[in-house]
Amino acid sequence: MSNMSWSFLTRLLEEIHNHSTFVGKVWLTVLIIFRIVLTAVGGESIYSDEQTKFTCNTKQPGCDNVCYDAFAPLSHVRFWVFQIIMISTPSIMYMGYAIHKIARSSEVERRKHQRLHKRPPPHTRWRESQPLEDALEVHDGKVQPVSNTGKDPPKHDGRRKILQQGLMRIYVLQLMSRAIFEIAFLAGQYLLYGFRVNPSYVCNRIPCPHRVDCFISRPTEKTIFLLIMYVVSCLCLVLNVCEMLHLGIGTFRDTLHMKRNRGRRPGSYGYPFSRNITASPPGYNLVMKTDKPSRIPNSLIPHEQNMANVAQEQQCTSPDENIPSDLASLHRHLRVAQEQLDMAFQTYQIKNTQQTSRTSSPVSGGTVAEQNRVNTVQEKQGARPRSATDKATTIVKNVKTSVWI
Amino acid sequence: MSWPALYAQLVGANRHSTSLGKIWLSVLFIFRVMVLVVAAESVWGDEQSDFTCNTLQPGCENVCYDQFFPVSHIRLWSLQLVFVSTPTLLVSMYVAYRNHCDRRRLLQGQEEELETLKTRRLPIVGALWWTYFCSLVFKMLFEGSFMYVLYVVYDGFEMPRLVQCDQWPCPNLVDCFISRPTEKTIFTVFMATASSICMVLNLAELAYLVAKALNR
Repeated sequence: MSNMSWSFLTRLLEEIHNHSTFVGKVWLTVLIIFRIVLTAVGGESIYSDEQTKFTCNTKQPGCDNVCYDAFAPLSHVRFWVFQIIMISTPSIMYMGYAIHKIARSSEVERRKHQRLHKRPPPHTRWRESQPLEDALEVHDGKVQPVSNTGKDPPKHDGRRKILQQGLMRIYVLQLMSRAIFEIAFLAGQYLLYGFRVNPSYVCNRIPCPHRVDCFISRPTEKTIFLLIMYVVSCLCLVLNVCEMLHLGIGTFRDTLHMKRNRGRRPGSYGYPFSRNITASPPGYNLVMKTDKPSRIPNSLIPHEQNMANVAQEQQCTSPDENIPSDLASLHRHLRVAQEQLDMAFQTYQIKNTQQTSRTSSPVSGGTVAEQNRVNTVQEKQGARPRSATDKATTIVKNVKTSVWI
Repeated sequence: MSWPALYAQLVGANRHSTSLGKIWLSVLFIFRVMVLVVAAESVWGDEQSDFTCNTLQPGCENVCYDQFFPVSHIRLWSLQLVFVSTPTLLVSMYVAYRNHCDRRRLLQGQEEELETLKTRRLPIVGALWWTYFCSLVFKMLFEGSFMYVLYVVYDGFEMPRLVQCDQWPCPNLVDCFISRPTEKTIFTVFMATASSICMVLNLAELAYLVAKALNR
């Protein structure tokens, strides 16, 4: 029975996994493994006989009960249960808010598309919020915590994605409230229990006839467990602080990059597809490859930026930002890419009217292989390939074949 | 108490609730069901075995325990949680009925719409609004009445350390001692607080529904 209750909480916490930064995921793992499992397993066996084996040095009935109550107004295990619940609460509330916000923004995008194109775009059937909400929902009596159509749940994890969704403020608020709760519970644990469980306790309450010695069961084991939980709490607190620092430093670095790229902007602005574009749209480089070999600054450009730069002209964003992971904007980018491809194809045709019959397929076959190699090299070197962007590249590759064939 | 079965029933209806309803469900399961199962049941686990009276007279402890604990807190809270969750099933019954009618109508039409039937989300208007409204009212009624019953039976939310009892067969006025009274008080106060939070959420949801209806 209590396993079921812990599994409910752990299931919710796993869903939070998809909405945290890397340090947040580590914190979650520490929480689940060290605290929940330890409390459930160790607490059960160590503290099960804490009252029955609490004996006082008197035969007066009732003295045992009263002295046990004075010794342990709140048992350790219950204290830790409260602590775990209170500390998970900000994360769960953040997750609920994030799901709500993402669902709303995808609704807004869908309506915008419907208004623009007067027909439902293909992604409306895949409601982004659906797999997320399914964490708390049941289909046909079976619990499916992840997705309903077999697709991967959209991951809004990582600092950049959280930033893009406009959730950063709430995320930081959640982190701070977690830290405050952690500190409060640590202080409470110290005030209530200290660092040691003494083997004997002196009690003088009515109806005990005089001062009696009462003896606690397994004091050393309880002391060790108490100290372990102190250490785990401090570790979680340290992870919280690290996460806040990670967010702060990352944002600071991003603003630095943005400032630097704003300085670089005028040079590359005249030509929409600068040399930064390497892999997408891949077909485009077939055109440009004859003129100049594209040099890939591997260290700087992660895989996602290839897609981001497609929409660079339209959005005037810094190339350092990741593409938004919702499929709606992805489709928009692809459309833009296709239009640019058509334009580039026309210029290529104009340029190479004198050239002899250069059939597309062998050339594209050869350069596609080279392009794929380049892509894989890039991916290995720096990128964090995400499922959405992988889908994007496959879709882009399909786009390329549709253009060339 | 089969909490997983109750959980399975409730999350099905969760899709058709407002956001406040979803928060209510989370509060219910995290702060009440989970705390009840994981913590409170172990606190009240030895409530009769460790209830000692200051006498050797056989049967006196049983009788005195029965006098002061007609219904244990744990059972009262379990009943409260079951009753409070039941009105939500009203809503899901209504939605199922609507889906059934629509499915029959649609079977004569397109086939693919049947898939969206299962996953669509009905807007809260008309008869669904009234069903939802009634379910909220009943929820609040049940919460309030169970809290009142707890308060009356146990004379407040505090657990005394010592009770005095002179029921037959106890020979005279004996002192009986309750096990873990402080811990039980803490948990009683916690569960009463969680109940009030749920009641406040229900009230807010009621106000939101009424406001939405008036706006229309």
